[in-house]
Amino acid sequence: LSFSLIHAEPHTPAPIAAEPKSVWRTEDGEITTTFHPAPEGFLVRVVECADYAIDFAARTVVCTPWPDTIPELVRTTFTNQIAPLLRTRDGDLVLHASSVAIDGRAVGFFGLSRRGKSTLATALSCAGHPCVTDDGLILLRGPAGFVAEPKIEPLRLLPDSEAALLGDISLPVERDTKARIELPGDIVFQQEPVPLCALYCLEEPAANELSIARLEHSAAMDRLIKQTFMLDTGDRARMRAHFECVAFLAETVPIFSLDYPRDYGQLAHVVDGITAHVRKIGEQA
Amino acid sequence: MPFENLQLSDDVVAREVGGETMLLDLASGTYFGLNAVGGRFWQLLESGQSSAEARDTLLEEFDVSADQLDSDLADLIGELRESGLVTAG
Repeated sequence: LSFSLIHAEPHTPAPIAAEPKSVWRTEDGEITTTFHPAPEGFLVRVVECADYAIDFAARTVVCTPWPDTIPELVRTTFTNQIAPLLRTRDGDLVLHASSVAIDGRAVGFFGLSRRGKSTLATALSCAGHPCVTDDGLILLRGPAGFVAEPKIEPLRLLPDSEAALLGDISLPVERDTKARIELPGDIVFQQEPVPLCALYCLEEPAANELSIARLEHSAAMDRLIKQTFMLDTGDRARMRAHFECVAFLAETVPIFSLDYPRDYGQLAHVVDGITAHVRKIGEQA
Repeated sequence: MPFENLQLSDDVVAREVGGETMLLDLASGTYFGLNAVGGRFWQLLESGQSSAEARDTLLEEFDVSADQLDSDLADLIGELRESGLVTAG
Protein backbone atom coordinates (compact mmCIF):
# COMPACT_ATOMS: atom_id res chain seq x y z
CA LEU A 1 0.00 0.00 0.00
CA SER A 2 1.52 3.30 -1.06
CA PHE A 3 -0.17 5.40 1.62
CA SER A 4 1.61 6.29 4.86
CA LEU A 5 -0.27 5.59 8.07
CA ILE A 6 0.22 8.25 10.74
CA HIS A 7 -0.94 7.51 14.28
CA ALA A 8 -2.43 10.41 16.24
CA GLU A 9 -3.20 10.39 19.95
CA PRO A 10 -6.62 9.00 20.91
CA HIS A 11 -9.27 11.70 20.92
CA THR A 12 -12.98 11.97 21.66
CA PRO A 13 -14.67 12.15 18.25
CA ALA A 14 -16.16 15.51 17.33
CA PRO A 15 -19.29 15.86 15.20
CA ILE A 16 -18.47 15.96 11.49
CA ALA A 17 -20.02 18.88 9.63
CA ALA A 18 -19.99 17.30 6.17
CA GLU A 19 -22.84 14.87 5.50
CA PRO A 20 -21.61 11.36 4.76
CA LYS A 21 -21.47 10.44 1.10
CA SER A 22 -21.97 6.83 2.00
CA VAL A 23 -22.69 4.75 5.07
CA TRP A 24 -21.98 1.13 5.91
CA ARG A 25 -24.47 -0.67 8.10
CA THR A 26 -24.87 -4.09 9.62
CA GLU A 27 -27.66 -6.34 8.41
CA ASP A 28 -29.67 -4.95 11.34
CA GLY A 29 -29.24 -1.40 10.08
CA GLU A 30 -26.73 -0.28 12.67
CA ILE A 31 -24.24 2.24 11.30
CA THR A 32 -20.68 0.95 11.43
CA THR A 33 -18.78 3.33 9.14
CA THR A 34 -19.46 6.72 7.58
CA PHE A 35 -17.58 8.37 4.72
CA HIS A 36 -17.38 12.17 4.73
CA PRO A 37 -15.90 14.27 1.94
CA ALA A 38 -12.99 16.44 3.05
CA PRO A 39 -11.02 19.06 1.10
CA GLU A 40 -8.03 16.78 0.79
CA GLY A 41 -9.88 13.50 0.43
CA PHE A 42 -12.10 11.70 2.89
CA LEU A 43 -12.71 11.41 6.58
CA VAL A 44 -13.76 7.86 7.39
CA ARG A 45 -15.34 7.33 10.79
CA VAL A 46 -15.41 3.76 12.04
CA VAL A 47 -17.89 3.91 14.90
CA GLU A 48 -16.52 3.06 18.36
CA CYS A 49 -13.07 2.65 16.86
CA ALA A 50 -11.25 5.46 15.04
CA ASP A 51 -11.36 8.32 12.57
CA TYR A 52 -9.20 8.00 9.47
CA ALA A 53 -8.35 11.21 7.62
CA ILE A 54 -7.30 10.31 4.09
CA ASP A 55 -5.26 12.81 2.08
CA PHE A 56 -5.07 11.66 -1.52
CA ALA A 57 -2.49 14.24 -2.61
CA ALA A 58 -0.13 13.61 0.28
CA ARG A 59 -1.02 9.89 0.24
CA THR A 60 -1.33 9.80 4.00
CA VAL A 61 -3.88 8.39 6.40
CA VAL A 62 -4.01 9.97 9.84
CA CYS A 63 -5.59 7.57 12.31
CA THR A 64 -7.15 9.07 15.43
CA PRO A 65 -8.45 6.29 17.69
CA TRP A 66 -11.47 6.91 19.84
CA PRO A 67 -10.60 6.84 23.55
CA ASP A 68 -10.15 3.40 25.08
CA THR A 69 -10.14 1.60 21.71
CA ILE A 70 -7.80 -1.34 21.81
CA PRO A 71 -4.91 -0.99 19.32
CA GLU A 72 -5.70 -4.41 17.86
CA LEU A 73 -9.12 -3.19 16.69
CA VAL A 74 -7.65 -0.05 15.15
CA ARG A 75 -5.06 -2.10 13.31
CA THR A 76 -7.62 -4.62 12.08
CA THR A 77 -9.93 -1.86 10.89
CA PHE A 78 -7.16 -0.24 8.93
CA THR A 79 -6.08 -3.52 7.37
CA ASN A 80 -9.53 -4.83 6.50
CA GLN A 81 -11.47 -1.66 5.70
CA ILE A 82 -9.29 1.36 5.01
CA ALA A 83 -6.43 -0.28 3.13
CA PRO A 84 -8.77 -2.14 0.72
CA LEU A 85 -10.57 1.12 -0.02
CA LEU A 86 -7.28 2.79 -0.87
CA ARG A 87 -6.27 -0.15 -3.05
CA THR A 88 -9.59 0.13 -4.86
CA ARG A 89 -9.03 3.83 -5.47
CA ASP A 90 -5.67 2.97 -7.00
CA GLY A 91 -7.44 0.71 -9.48
CA ASP A 92 -7.33 -2.71 -7.85
CA LEU A 93 -10.43 -4.76 -7.16
CA VAL A 94 -10.95 -5.79 -3.54
CA LEU A 95 -13.71 -8.16 -2.49
CA HIS A 96 -15.16 -8.80 0.94
CA ALA A 97 -13.87 -12.34 0.60
CA SER A 98 -11.62 -14.98 2.08
CA SER A 99 -9.54 -17.16 -0.20
CA VAL A 100 -7.41 -20.28 -0.34
CA ALA A 101 -5.33 -21.83 -3.08
CA ILE A 102 -6.35 -25.31 -4.24
CA ASP A 103 -3.94 -27.05 -6.59
CA GLY A 104 -2.24 -23.73 -7.34
CA ARG A 105 -5.41 -21.79 -8.16
CA ALA A 106 -7.24 -19.38 -5.92
CA VAL A 107 -10.88 -19.69 -4.95
CA GLY A 108 -12.67 -16.94 -3.08
CA PHE A 109 -15.60 -16.98 -0.68
CA PHE A 110 -17.49 -13.69 -0.55
CA GLY A 111 -20.62 -12.44 1.15
CA LEU A 112 -21.98 -10.56 4.08
CA SER A 113 -20.33 -10.57 7.48
CA ARG A 114 -20.79 -13.71 9.54
CA ARG A 115 -21.73 -15.88 6.60
CA GLY A 116 -18.68 -18.10 7.20
CA LYS A 117 -15.92 -16.66 5.00
CA SER A 118 -13.14 -16.93 7.56
CA THR A 119 -14.39 -20.27 8.86
CA LEU A 120 -14.31 -21.83 5.41
CA ALA A 121 -10.88 -20.41 4.59
CA THR A 122 -9.48 -21.70 7.88
CA ALA A 123 -11.09 -25.11 7.49
CA LEU A 124 -9.71 -25.45 3.97
CA SER A 125 -6.30 -24.26 5.17
CA CYS A 126 -6.38 -26.85 7.94
CA ALA A 127 -7.01 -29.42 5.16
CA GLY A 128 -3.76 -28.39 3.50
CA HIS A 129 -4.78 -25.66 1.08
CA PRO A 130 -2.65 -22.52 1.51
CA CYS A 131 -4.49 -19.47 2.82
CA VAL A 132 -4.54 -16.48 0.46
CA THR A 133 -6.46 -14.18 2.80
CA ASP A 134 -9.20 -14.35 5.39
CA ASP A 135 -10.65 -10.96 4.40
CA GLY A 136 -10.19 -8.30 1.74
CA LEU A 137 -9.30 -10.39 -1.30
CA ILE A 138 -7.17 -8.27 -3.64
CA LEU A 139 -7.66 -9.17 -7.31
CA LEU A 140 -5.25 -7.95 -9.94
CA ARG A 141 -6.62 -7.83 -13.47
CA GLY A 142 -4.67 -9.41 -16.29
CA PRO A 143 -5.46 -9.84 -19.98
CA ALA A 144 -7.21 -13.19 -19.52
CA GLY A 145 -8.51 -13.05 -16.00
CA PHE A 146 -7.59 -12.18 -12.44
CA VAL A 147 -4.79 -13.03 -10.07
CA ALA A 148 -5.30 -13.19 -6.31
CA GLU A 149 -2.70 -11.38 -4.27
CA PRO A 150 -1.92 -13.13 -0.99
CA LYS A 151 -2.21 -11.16 2.22
CA ILE A 152 -0.14 -12.80 4.89
CA GLU A 153 -1.98 -11.82 8.03
CA PRO A 154 -3.06 -13.77 11.08
CA LEU A 155 -6.48 -15.31 10.61
CA ARG A 156 -9.39 -13.94 12.57
CA LEU A 157 -12.24 -16.11 13.78
CA LEU A 158 -15.30 -15.89 15.94
CA PRO A 159 -14.94 -17.92 19.14
CA ASP A 160 -17.22 -20.80 18.10
CA SER A 161 -15.36 -21.33 14.81
CA GLU A 162 -12.07 -21.02 16.61
CA ALA A 163 -12.99 -23.67 19.14
CA ALA A 164 -14.39 -26.05 16.52
CA LEU A 165 -11.50 -25.71 14.09
CA LEU A 166 -8.53 -25.25 16.30
CA GLY A 167 -9.44 -26.72 19.65
CA ASP A 168 -7.80 -24.95 22.55
CA ILE A 169 -4.63 -23.86 20.83
CA SER A 170 -5.57 -20.19 20.91
CA LEU A 171 -6.45 -17.78 23.65
CA PRO A 172 -9.49 -18.89 25.66
CA VAL A 173 -10.95 -15.40 25.93
CA GLU A 174 -14.67 -14.81 26.40
CA ARG A 175 -15.83 -12.59 23.56
CA ASP A 176 -18.42 -12.24 20.80
CA THR A 177 -16.18 -10.64 18.22
CA LYS A 178 -13.45 -11.94 15.99
CA ALA A 179 -9.92 -12.14 17.28
CA ARG A 180 -6.62 -12.92 15.70
CA ILE A 181 -5.56 -16.45 16.40
CA GLU A 182 -2.39 -18.42 16.60
CA LEU A 183 -2.32 -21.11 13.98
CA PRO A 184 -1.09 -24.66 14.02
CA GLY A 185 2.25 -25.02 12.34
CA ASP A 186 0.87 -27.05 9.47
CA ILE A 187 -1.28 -24.22 8.12
CA VAL A 188 0.56 -22.49 5.32
CA PHE A 189 0.01 -19.18 3.64
CA GLN A 190 0.15 -18.70 -0.08
CA GLN A 191 3.32 -16.75 -0.79
CA GLU A 192 2.97 -15.87 -4.47
CA PRO A 193 0.03 -14.49 -6.43
CA VAL A 194 -2.17 -17.22 -7.91
CA PRO A 195 -4.71 -17.22 -10.76
CA LEU A 196 -8.30 -16.93 -9.59
CA CYS A 197 -10.39 -19.86 -10.83
CA ALA A 198 -13.75 -19.47 -9.04
CA LEU A 199 -15.74 -17.38 -6.61
CA TYR A 200 -18.41 -18.63 -4.24
CA CYS A 201 -21.05 -16.34 -2.78
CA LEU A 202 -22.04 -17.44 0.70
CA GLU A 203 -25.82 -17.28 0.83
CA GLU A 204 -28.03 -16.89 3.86
CA PRO A 205 -27.89 -20.30 5.53
CA ALA A 206 -30.88 -22.45 4.59
CA ALA A 207 -29.55 -25.72 3.21
CA ASN A 208 -29.28 -29.01 5.07
CA GLU A 209 -26.52 -30.18 2.78
CA LEU A 210 -23.82 -28.68 0.60
CA SER A 211 -25.43 -26.78 -2.26
CA ILE A 212 -23.49 -25.17 -5.12
CA ALA A 213 -25.14 -23.56 -8.15
CA ARG A 214 -23.70 -21.47 -10.97
CA LEU A 215 -25.00 -17.90 -10.93
CA GLU A 216 -26.26 -16.11 -14.00
CA HIS A 217 -24.18 -13.10 -14.96
CA SER A 218 -26.67 -10.53 -13.70
CA ALA A 219 -27.05 -12.30 -10.36
CA ALA A 220 -23.28 -12.62 -10.09
CA MET A 221 -22.79 -8.94 -10.92
CA ASP A 222 -25.38 -7.92 -8.37
CA ARG A 223 -23.67 -9.88 -5.62
CA LEU A 224 -20.17 -8.80 -6.61
CA ILE A 225 -21.07 -5.12 -6.73
CA LYS A 226 -22.43 -5.32 -3.20
CA GLN A 227 -19.30 -7.01 -1.90
CA THR A 228 -16.59 -4.93 -3.52
CA PHE A 229 -14.93 -2.01 -1.85
CA MET A 230 -15.48 1.44 -3.39
CA LEU A 231 -14.41 4.59 -1.61
CA ASP A 232 -15.68 7.53 -3.63
CA THR A 233 -19.04 6.95 -5.26
CA GLY A 234 -18.92 10.52 -6.59
CA ASP A 235 -15.84 9.90 -8.71
CA ARG A 236 -17.42 9.00 -12.04
CA ALA A 237 -14.27 7.94 -13.86
CA ARG A 238 -13.39 5.53 -11.07
CA MET A 239 -16.96 4.27 -10.81
CA ARG A 240 -16.96 3.57 -14.55
CA ALA A 241 -13.64 1.75 -14.33
CA HIS A 242 -14.82 -0.20 -11.29
CA PHE A 243 -18.02 -1.23 -13.07
CA GLU A 244 -16.05 -2.38 -16.09
CA CYS A 245 -13.66 -4.35 -13.87
CA VAL A 246 -16.48 -6.13 -12.01
CA ALA A 247 -18.17 -6.93 -15.33
CA PHE A 248 -14.91 -8.43 -16.61
CA LEU A 249 -14.68 -10.48 -13.42
CA ALA A 250 -18.22 -11.80 -13.91
CA GLU A 251 -17.39 -12.70 -17.50
CA THR A 252 -14.08 -14.41 -16.93
CA VAL A 253 -14.46 -16.19 -13.60
CA PRO A 254 -17.22 -18.71 -12.81
CA ILE A 255 -19.26 -17.53 -9.85
CA PHE A 256 -21.39 -19.84 -7.75
CA SER A 257 -23.85 -19.52 -4.93
CA LEU A 258 -22.80 -21.67 -1.99
CA ASP A 259 -24.86 -22.83 0.93
CA TYR A 260 -24.10 -25.50 3.47
CA PRO A 261 -25.24 -26.51 6.95
CA ARG A 262 -23.59 -24.32 9.55
CA ASP A 263 -22.82 -27.37 11.62
CA TYR A 264 -19.21 -27.80 12.61
CA GLY A 265 -19.72 -31.55 12.68
CA GLN A 266 -20.27 -31.47 8.92
CA LEU A 267 -17.52 -29.02 8.09
CA ALA A 268 -15.07 -31.70 6.95
CA HIS A 269 -17.68 -32.97 4.49
CA VAL A 270 -18.23 -29.41 3.25
CA VAL A 271 -14.50 -28.94 2.78
CA ASP A 272 -14.29 -32.18 0.78
CA GLY A 273 -17.25 -31.14 -1.36
CA ILE A 274 -15.86 -27.69 -2.14
CA THR A 275 -12.43 -29.15 -2.91
CA ALA A 276 -13.97 -31.67 -5.31
CA HIS A 277 -16.01 -28.93 -6.96
CA VAL A 278 -12.95 -26.73 -7.48
CA ARG A 279 -11.02 -29.65 -8.97
CA LYS A 280 -13.87 -30.38 -11.34
CA ILE A 281 -13.76 -26.76 -12.53
CA GLY A 282 -10.03 -27.23 -13.09
CA GLU A 283 -10.61 -30.33 -15.18
CA GLN A 284 -13.16 -28.50 -17.32
CA ALA A 285 -10.95 -25.44 -17.85
CA MET B 1 -49.90 1.41 -27.94
CA PRO B 2 -48.33 4.85 -28.36
CA PHE B 3 -44.69 5.14 -27.34
CA GLU B 4 -43.36 8.47 -26.18
CA ASN B 5 -39.88 9.55 -27.11
CA LEU B 6 -37.31 8.76 -24.49
CA GLN B 7 -34.08 10.52 -23.61
CA LEU B 8 -31.36 8.35 -22.10
CA SER B 9 -29.65 9.79 -19.07
CA ASP B 10 -26.05 10.90 -19.68
CA ASP B 11 -25.22 9.42 -16.28
CA VAL B 12 -25.82 5.83 -17.34
CA VAL B 13 -23.13 3.40 -18.42
CA ALA B 14 -24.27 0.19 -20.12
CA ARG B 15 -22.25 -3.01 -20.30
CA GLU B 16 -23.21 -6.34 -21.79
CA VAL B 17 -22.21 -9.25 -19.60
CA GLY B 18 -22.87 -12.73 -20.86
CA GLY B 19 -25.86 -11.76 -22.95
CA GLU B 20 -27.40 -9.58 -20.28
CA THR B 21 -27.14 -5.82 -20.05
CA MET B 22 -26.05 -4.16 -16.84
CA LEU B 23 -26.60 -0.45 -16.29
CA LEU B 24 -24.70 1.72 -13.85
CA ASP B 25 -26.21 5.05 -12.86
CA LEU B 26 -23.19 7.21 -12.12
CA ALA B 27 -25.34 9.80 -10.40
CA SER B 28 -26.74 7.48 -7.77
CA GLY B 29 -24.18 4.69 -7.86
CA THR B 30 -26.90 2.10 -8.35
CA TYR B 31 -26.95 -0.80 -10.77
CA PHE B 32 -29.66 -2.35 -12.88
CA GLY B 33 -29.85 -5.58 -14.80
CA LEU B 34 -31.81 -5.93 -18.03
CA ASN B 35 -32.83 -9.18 -19.65
CA ALA B 36 -32.22 -9.90 -23.32
CA VAL B 37 -35.24 -7.94 -24.56
CA GLY B 38 -34.66 -5.05 -22.19
CA GLY B 39 -30.98 -4.93 -23.05
CA ARG B 40 -31.70 -4.90 -26.77
CA PHE B 41 -34.28 -2.14 -26.25
CA TRP B 42 -31.65 -0.05 -24.45
CA GLN B 43 -29.12 -0.75 -27.18
CA LEU B 44 -31.57 0.37 -29.87
CA LEU B 45 -32.36 3.58 -28.00
CA GLU B 46 -28.63 4.21 -27.67
CA SER B 47 -28.25 3.75 -31.41
CA GLY B 48 -30.72 6.55 -31.99
CA GLN B 49 -33.97 4.72 -32.58
CA SER B 50 -37.10 6.17 -31.07
CA SER B 51 -38.94 4.00 -28.58
CA ALA B 52 -41.61 3.22 -31.23
CA GLU B 53 -38.94 2.22 -33.76
CA ALA B 54 -37.16 0.12 -31.15
CA ARG B 55 -40.45 -1.60 -30.30
CA ASP B 56 -40.95 -2.51 -33.98
CA THR B 57 -37.39 -3.82 -34.23
CA LEU B 58 -37.91 -6.00 -31.15
CA LEU B 59 -41.12 -7.35 -32.62
CA GLU B 60 -39.13 -8.51 -35.65
CA GLU B 61 -36.22 -9.94 -33.67
CA PHE B 62 -37.98 -11.78 -30.85
CA ASP B 63 -40.63 -14.45 -30.89
CA VAL B 64 -43.20 -12.48 -28.92
CA SER B 65 -46.72 -11.22 -29.54
CA ALA B 66 -47.27 -7.50 -29.99
CA ASP B 67 -49.54 -7.37 -26.95
CA GLN B 68 -47.01 -9.12 -24.74
CA LEU B 69 -44.14 -6.96 -25.98
CA ASP B 70 -46.10 -3.73 -25.49
CA SER B 71 -47.01 -4.78 -21.97
CA ASP B 72 -43.42 -5.72 -21.12
CA LEU B 73 -42.03 -2.49 -22.61
CA ALA B 74 -44.56 -0.40 -20.72
CA ASP B 75 -43.38 -1.99 -17.49
CA LEU B 76 -39.74 -1.55 -18.44
CA ILE B 77 -40.12 2.09 -19.45
CA GLY B 78 -41.97 2.76 -16.23
CA GLU B 79 -39.12 1.30 -14.20
CA LEU B 80 -36.48 3.13 -16.21
CA ARG B 81 -38.30 6.44 -15.78
CA GLU B 82 -38.88 5.86 -12.10
CA SER B 83 -35.17 5.19 -11.65
CA GLY B 84 -34.22 8.29 -13.61
CA LEU B 85 -32.43 6.32 -16.30
CA VAL B 86 -34.62 7.78 -19.02
CA THR B 87 -36.82 10.84 -19.29
CA ALA B 88 -39.59 11.75 -21.69
CA GLY B 89 -38.03 13.84 -24.39
